[in-house]
Amino acid sequence: MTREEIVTKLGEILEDTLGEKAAGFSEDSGLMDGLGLTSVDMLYLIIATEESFGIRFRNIGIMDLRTVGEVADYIEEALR
Amino acid sequence: MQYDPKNLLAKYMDPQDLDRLVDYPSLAAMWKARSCEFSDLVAIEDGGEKYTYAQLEADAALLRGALKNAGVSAGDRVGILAPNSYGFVKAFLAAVTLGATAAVLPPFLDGPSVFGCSMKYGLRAIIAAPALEPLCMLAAERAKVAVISTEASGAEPEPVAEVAPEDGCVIMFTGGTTGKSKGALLSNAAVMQGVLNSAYGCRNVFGMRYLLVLPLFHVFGLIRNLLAALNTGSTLFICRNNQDMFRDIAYFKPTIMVIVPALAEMALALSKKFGRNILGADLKYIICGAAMVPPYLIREYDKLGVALYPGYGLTESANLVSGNVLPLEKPDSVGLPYPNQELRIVDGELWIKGRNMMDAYVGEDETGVWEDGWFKTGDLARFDEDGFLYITGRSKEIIVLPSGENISPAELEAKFNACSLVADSQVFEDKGADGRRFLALEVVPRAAEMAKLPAADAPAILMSELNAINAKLPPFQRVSRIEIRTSDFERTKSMKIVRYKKCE
Repeated sequence: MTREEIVTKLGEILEDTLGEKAAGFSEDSGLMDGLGLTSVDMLYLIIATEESFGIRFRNIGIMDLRTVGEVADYIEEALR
Repeated sequence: MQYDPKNLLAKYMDPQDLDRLVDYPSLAAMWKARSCEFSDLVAIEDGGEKYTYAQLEADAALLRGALKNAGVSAGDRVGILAPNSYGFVKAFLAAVTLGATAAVLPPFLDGPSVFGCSMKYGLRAIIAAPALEPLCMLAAERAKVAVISTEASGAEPEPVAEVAPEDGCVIMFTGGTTGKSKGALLSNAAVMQGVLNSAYGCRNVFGMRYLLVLPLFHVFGLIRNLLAALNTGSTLFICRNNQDMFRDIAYFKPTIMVIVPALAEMALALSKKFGRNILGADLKYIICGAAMVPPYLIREYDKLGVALYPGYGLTESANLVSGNVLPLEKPDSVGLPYPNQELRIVDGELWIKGRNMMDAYVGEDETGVWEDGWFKTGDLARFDEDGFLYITGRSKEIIVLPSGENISPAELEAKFNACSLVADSQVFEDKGADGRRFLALEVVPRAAEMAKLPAADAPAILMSELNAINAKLPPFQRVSRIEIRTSDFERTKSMKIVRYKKCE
């Protein structure tokens, strides 16, 4: 899966929970600070990402991921 | 208004389960009886280990011995400082079954706060998880508080004490909705009433499988999860990390979950996205509270075969005041009041007195809290003709219109939230350029439902539904401006909306 495909799929998950506000996001977008995800939204993001990509966030807490790019980095690494 | 549960709630319960409920005089008496009755059953599952009722009692007896060795006796106050864990459970049980009052300290407190609580509540000892023991050092040095590890061993087991109903049982922190967080002192009688109330409403209550995701330093976690489970021979699985919740569910297969609406909504969205009930096929009941429950959630979970019961409660009332046994018929209601309490509505505000109510806020000025023995909840409420209770807002959130008419924003919001396209809403008073005050509405769309509509038309469809709801309201309640937001409202830590104060 290419980086672009990963980010597109992440965008779909963000859109589930944020609706229109996810439009125009970038890899630099902050999850809680920038896009305004709540702690429950973050939980959704983590779980939906694990299910969608078939990966598992090990040894990393929800609050350790700050930007869309950091989530994409983690997914890319986990898929290797 | 008083109810006899045997008559009123009996028809919603399995009669055999109702007969097995016992009104014990204290939590100590309950635990003494239930730990024998269910000795071989698994009480707690935590960190890959299973602990039977007998094992839990044996471990609590050792901690009671350690407390006694530290000079703690009945009537003393003992802090509990531990995250959700088996260690918390045995520490809490040890303290209350020795006849002490357990002051449940949130595990995120820092050292000075632990010291502050020790002084304020007059703690004799603190039972702390090993990792949190360093936070107790200041209290140990300056307040001479004995610090005992949840893993302490070596003491002689101490038997369960005789404890009277009026003896203090627990000090719980309030959520601070009405200001700063306070410590509410609940007697054994109050907590036992809360435990009994936990059993009313669901058809079956014994031998259930609870999955705990709520904090045990909150009454909803402590009473409605832990103590409700231990009173009914049920097993409580402690989910250590909410990130692992759905893996834990797949493994443990809970039959009941006690969660807040935001979590129920998130689980529903995930279930829809992945085409399966992510809370598991064994789940029968969701107990939902701590915030207003959207009727949409009740209907959607019903489609998945899960009964979602809203309820109403306070820390000051040992959690549960009422529970909705007819969620599909009356989805806006928080249900029928539980027994042994009186409820009255004074100038729209709900007042309560009864066995479940706290004794006092410890060390706090209680001006305005009570009136003639009634606890003033600050919540606006009404009853319907069947005796079902409805919470319509907070008294301090009331908007007084220039016409003198009162508007409860929450009551109006409930009407707009009934639209499945609306995730949440806020009604507030705004001021025009000419200084004229008017009611305004902002809504956050429910993305999953909006996505089912043609993208280009969705906002117009939502707006048309909102206008239709608005048009049906009495003229003085109608909002003059409606705005569809593209982001959620600012929220407090407990996920409640931070209300606008545009006209103050």
